[in-house]
Amino acid sequence: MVSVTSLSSWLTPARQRKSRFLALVEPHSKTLYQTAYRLTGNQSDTEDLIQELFLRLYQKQDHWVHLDNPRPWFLRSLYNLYIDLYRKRRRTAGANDKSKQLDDLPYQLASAAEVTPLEATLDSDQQRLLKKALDHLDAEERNLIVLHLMEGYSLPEVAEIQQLPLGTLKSRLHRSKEKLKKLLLKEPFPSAERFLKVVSYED
Amino acid sequence: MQCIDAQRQLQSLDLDQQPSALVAEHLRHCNQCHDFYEDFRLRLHLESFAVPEPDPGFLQQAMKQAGQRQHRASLGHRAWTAAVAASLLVALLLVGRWQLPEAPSPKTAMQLQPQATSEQQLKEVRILIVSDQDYQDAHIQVALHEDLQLRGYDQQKNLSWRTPLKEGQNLLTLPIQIGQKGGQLEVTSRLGMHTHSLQLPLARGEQPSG
Ligand SMILES: [Zn+2]
Repeated sequence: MVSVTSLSSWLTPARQRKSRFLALVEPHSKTLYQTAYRLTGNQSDTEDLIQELFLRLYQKQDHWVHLDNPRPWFLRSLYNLYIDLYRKRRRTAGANDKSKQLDDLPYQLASAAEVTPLEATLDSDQQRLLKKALDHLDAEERNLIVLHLMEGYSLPEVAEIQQLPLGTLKSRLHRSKEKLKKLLLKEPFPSAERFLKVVSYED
Repeated sequence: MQCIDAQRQLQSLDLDQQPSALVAEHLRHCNQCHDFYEDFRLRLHLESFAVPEPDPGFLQQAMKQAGQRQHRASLGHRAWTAAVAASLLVALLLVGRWQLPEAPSPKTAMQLQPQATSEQQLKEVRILIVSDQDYQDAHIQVALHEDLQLRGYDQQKNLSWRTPLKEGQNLLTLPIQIGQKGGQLEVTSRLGMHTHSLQLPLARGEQPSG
């Protein structure tokens, strides 16, 4: 019989795991909810995503408890779950949807269908317009816009969360912004009146 | 009009305000300010995104549910099944002075959510140890019969540990290498006179029955 001094790496008291989990996740829970809402645009998907996220964080506790700041780890998990949800939605919609010719409205495939009537009523016109525009982005683009432009994470931080090279992220940011501008901003003047951009200013 | 003045004025506008005629005239001819104004308005739009408060109690509830592992993954059980598939099975071992007649028989190995997993030889076997109180010094013994090995303890067939146990559920996850013939895993807890043990038949590839 061999005696080994510790079994602790294989043994976890459920009670301890639970209280540690609550203590460490609680301070981030509200911001994670906000991010999830900005990604999905509606309450029911947000709640699904958050429940799924907490479950994953609980199961993967050993991967992040030692981190000084686990927030990026949380955001990466949220991002991955959101990508899954987005792809699943698109597949489902693709399978059921015979009106492919209306596909220039991809937001119908994403979250707009999930918005409850109450939420829709409460949204202002501007809010509706914004949600529709965001629904035109694909999941990677939207995550980038949400984290960088809405929540103020730096591009290197987002690069770490999305596991992408900074250069890729920069061109994606440019593309996403152009998409959004086209949808959100009415030209204040007919574009023909403006000077063509032949000069680039000292850059 | 200077760009700096135009941009200062533009920054004071909100989304439903129009720039003054003077600024508008400048914008017509200045691409730099035009771009600045577009970026600025895009930012205003994005900042206007209103996130409603979560339903009262939702976050607490969701965190607790994750801890209780009762929550079924709403995106199609994927996370849940993945977690279960990663482990071979869950067995129950009681520790302590359980005397109530309705307490489950300590010899019973309860198999939850059996999952036929891959051909992998290494399986994580989870054993739920339910303890009647905190113990500083519980004695846990693992015996590997026939073609089983504990990863990291090659060739050792009997191992024992002294370990603290918390009251309630403790999850013991053992990485077991299952050879061609499979074998029996025996886990025993001992506290003074009180001994409980369970036996689990482990086979490669498919699950033992019952
Ligand atoms: Zn200018």
